Amino acid sequence: MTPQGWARKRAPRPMRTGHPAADDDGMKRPAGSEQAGSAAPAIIELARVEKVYRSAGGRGVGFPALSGVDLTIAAGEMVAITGPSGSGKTTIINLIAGIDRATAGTVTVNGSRLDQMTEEQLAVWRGRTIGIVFQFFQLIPTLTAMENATLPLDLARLGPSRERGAVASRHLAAVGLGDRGGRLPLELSGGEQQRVAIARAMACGPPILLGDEPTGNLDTGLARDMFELLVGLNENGTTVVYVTHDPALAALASRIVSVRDGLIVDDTGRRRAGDTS
Amino acid sequence: MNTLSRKAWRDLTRHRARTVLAMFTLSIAIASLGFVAVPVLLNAAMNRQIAGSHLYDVGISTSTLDLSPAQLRALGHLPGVAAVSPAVGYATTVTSASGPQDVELAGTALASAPVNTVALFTGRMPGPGEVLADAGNARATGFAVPAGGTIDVRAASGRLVRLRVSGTGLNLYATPGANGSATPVFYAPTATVQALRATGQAPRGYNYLGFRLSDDSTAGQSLVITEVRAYLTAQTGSDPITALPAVRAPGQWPGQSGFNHIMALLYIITILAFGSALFLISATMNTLIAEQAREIAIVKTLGGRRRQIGGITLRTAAMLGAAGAVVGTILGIGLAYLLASYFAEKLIDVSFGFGVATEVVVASLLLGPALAAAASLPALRRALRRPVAQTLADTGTSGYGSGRLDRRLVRSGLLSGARVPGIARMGVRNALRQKRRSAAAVAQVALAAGLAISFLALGQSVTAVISQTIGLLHFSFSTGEATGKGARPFSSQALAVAASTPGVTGTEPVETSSVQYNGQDYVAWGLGTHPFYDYRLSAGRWFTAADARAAIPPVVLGPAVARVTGVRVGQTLTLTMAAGPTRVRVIGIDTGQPNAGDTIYFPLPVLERLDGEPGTANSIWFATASSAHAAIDRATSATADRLAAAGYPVSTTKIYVAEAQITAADTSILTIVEILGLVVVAIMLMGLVSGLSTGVIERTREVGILRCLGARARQIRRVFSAEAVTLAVVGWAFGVLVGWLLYEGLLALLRHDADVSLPQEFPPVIPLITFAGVLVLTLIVIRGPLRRATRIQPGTALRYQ
Repeated sequence: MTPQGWARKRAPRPMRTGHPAADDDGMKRPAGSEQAGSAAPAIIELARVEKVYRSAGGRGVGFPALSGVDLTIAAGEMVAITGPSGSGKTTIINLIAGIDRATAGTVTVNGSRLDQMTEEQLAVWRGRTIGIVFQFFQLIPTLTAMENATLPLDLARLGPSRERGAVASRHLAAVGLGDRGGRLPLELSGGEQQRVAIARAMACGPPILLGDEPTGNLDTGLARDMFELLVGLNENGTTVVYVTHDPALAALASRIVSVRDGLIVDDTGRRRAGDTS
Repeated sequence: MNTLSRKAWRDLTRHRARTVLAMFTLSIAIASLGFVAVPVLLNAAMNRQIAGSHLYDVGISTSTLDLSPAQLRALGHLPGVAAVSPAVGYATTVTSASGPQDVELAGTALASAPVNTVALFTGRMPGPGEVLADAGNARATGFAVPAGGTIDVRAASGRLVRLRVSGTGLNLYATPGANGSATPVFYAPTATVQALRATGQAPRGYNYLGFRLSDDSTAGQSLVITEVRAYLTAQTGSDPITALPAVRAPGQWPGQSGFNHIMALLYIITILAFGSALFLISATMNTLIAEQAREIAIVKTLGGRRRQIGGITLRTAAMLGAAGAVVGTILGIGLAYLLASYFAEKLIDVSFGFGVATEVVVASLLLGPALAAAASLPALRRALRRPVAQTLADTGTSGYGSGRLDRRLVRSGLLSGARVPGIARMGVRNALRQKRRSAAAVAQVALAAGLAISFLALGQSVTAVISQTIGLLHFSFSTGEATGKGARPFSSQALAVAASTPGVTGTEPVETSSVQYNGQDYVAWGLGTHPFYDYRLSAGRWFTAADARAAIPPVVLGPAVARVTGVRVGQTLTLTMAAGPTRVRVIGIDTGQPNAGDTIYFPLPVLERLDGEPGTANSIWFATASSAHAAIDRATSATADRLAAAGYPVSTTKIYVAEAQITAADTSILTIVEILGLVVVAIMLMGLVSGLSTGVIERTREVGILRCLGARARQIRRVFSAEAVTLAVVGWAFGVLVGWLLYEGLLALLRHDADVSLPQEFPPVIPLITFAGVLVLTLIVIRGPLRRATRIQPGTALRYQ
């Protein structure tokens, strides 16, 4: 595993308007933005996926979160999923991560059919394939920053145990927290906690990074810094899919998938590439 | 129902698993109050037994009196007499499938006797040719003949009469269990016993009169004794009373002191159980209220006053407590009945039917909601005082790291690095997240481990008593002078007869007596230079042949005598004996515990001389070729027959029977402690399960995160196992100290209240055994919570609130 290269912190950038020329302000674009429509292999495929949430006990009327979603994401893409509250954004992320199971349809991620895997198989697969960043960080409170970053390596038993700390240390340094590894989450700011969460998510070098409102609990400045980290990861080949309700942050992705009432109503990145209208 | 009440109710129904767990924990705690009912029920059963026994106020033993019905009526009308019941007692030997045995037969009117009524326990009352076995025979004497069995009774005429056992019964006056006798008792119709006692010359009649008085004061008793003596003297021409009349003080009954000792132990265990119950309740309510902290803050932001918020919480606690109290009371009734009936049967031979201690039931029903609400107050106070902003901003990382202990532990590196796997590290540190709850769990484990350690140590002491008493006596049985006519001490002729009995390989004459020193009675044994007693001296020496001729008789003191008198080897002391004040010189101090260490050993010829019967002994110890019980029984029976034929009627004592009796007596104490203590241990473990289960529920979201990070089921189990084992090990460590203190306390209590002296035995292996037990039990009881943890679906877990 090699440390990821991170973009240096820059001054705040103006929001993109959607026109490539007007938006050409010298900012680095996520990898894959020029490659939309190319023949990159699909790393994530949702086919006719439905998800109905039922109340405890499975009785009563269920709540349909997704009503037949088809979504294909190529390797190396950076995709933003947007939509109003309750539209099904988080559900899509959860299904990709195997955290929830689809009521109907198939979910294939990195060549694995998630609906055919047991919970145990999903957990193991997730540790090596998916990195997840949550809105509220979700660090283990009894572990230090270093230990949180090492935890996925311990769970997956990746590499010799005496080298795992060094790997985690490199990831922490990459997110700018090399000197804060011995701190407990309670001793870190929100931004620092989220950086630790990113380091943890990338500990096993997963090909896919998922974020559920990863910057939702940060101020604007920290949010953009965090997003630059994600862009940097994407530039190194990691497929990044994140949920956001902030149009400004969504616009920073190479592809925007809009969800409303459990259906995909717009998919801008793909349409831009093949749009002839 | 207003919104506040509705919230109180829905706070219970929102998390059903947590609510059911909390309610069940509370019910276990309330059920432990059933311990309090055990002595109440036993006391009630004993009082019924006493009332049903119509115990005597005055009992008079006489020579055989052939009283007519008119004379008996006249006795019943004497001043101060409310009722009179004649009886006839007969001491003899019986043989049965269990072997020969000295017994006492009591001939009375049985169930219709107005004084000393015999209550029927099982079977039916005996008719002609039948007897009723006393219910305490098996436990107190080891001689058990079941209903339907037979005993061959040796009549006064010498012939054997076969009698059938029709059932079991009991009268507190006669039962061997209550009065400490080791002689089995059988009840029969008066005519049956009179026929057994009859010889050509001796008249049929009664030799005991039991009286119940209208005035049972000391003055009233004295008056009746005087009146009865005068009447009988007038009727028979001489005073027929053969022994000091027995008087019973109002409210007293035979075996009462032993019963009170048992009750004292029960109350101590009850206090421990109640303390553990309070722990459980407090820990449970603290956890529940702490989880409500965010909602309490939200209600405060909406304008809720402290009184209103407290009302919601206390209403929730009271409802939970009420539900737990109902279930717990039902469980407690069952628990109390099972325990009380067990003790009634095994320890005090009292008939016991289903009963409910009403006051305990009412207290349990009221205490449940009250204790739950009261236990909520500390956590509620903390939650109400916590700043709103801080509570609402809590992202779930608080609780760990805010304290110096947490940070010091992390920085110390004790639980860091490759030495401790990350998974286990999480579990161990999790034990510090909820410090109050972890402290409660540690305390519960400490109490459970401490109880277990004290039981095991007590068991060691009981075992040591056996090895230090019976274990030092290297003979199989002994004979003593029979009570009654014809008994005489054993001469060399008797020894020769005894030694020639088939199966006997050795004999030792022994003189037994009693002495006094400083107003205290001690047992005196006269033994030879190489006795069948394996003395273990801590100082000085044993006797030599020359000591028999010493001017000042030498003695060896038992350990209790030496401790009480403070006398050392070489010193002299003056004993009060049958021969008068006698100066003796201490030549040794023994460590053995025969007679609880209260024995003074003399050279045999010296004690024979001091007892006024030189050249004879009043007891013989016998070694046999085989240690099998059947062989010992045969040798005992043959020896008794031979000596009786030679003019030496004897009573016999078999060592294996005495050992069983000592074991039974001492282990009865252990039984109480073990049974009640095990229930308390179960309550403790319930607390551990409850705490762990609550921890799993609380960390549902964290389990989801671990699953998202790729944790397998066994890795999640390891997190919680590490936490549970950490709490168990810390609890065990404290439990060693608790156990030692409890053990010393129990020894002191037994010594002070029950006059039972047990040696101190606290080997290091006991804490180690307990450590293994605590670990194993912990790993067993946490299986349920662990299974729950691994079944949590990550998606559901992340949405958990």
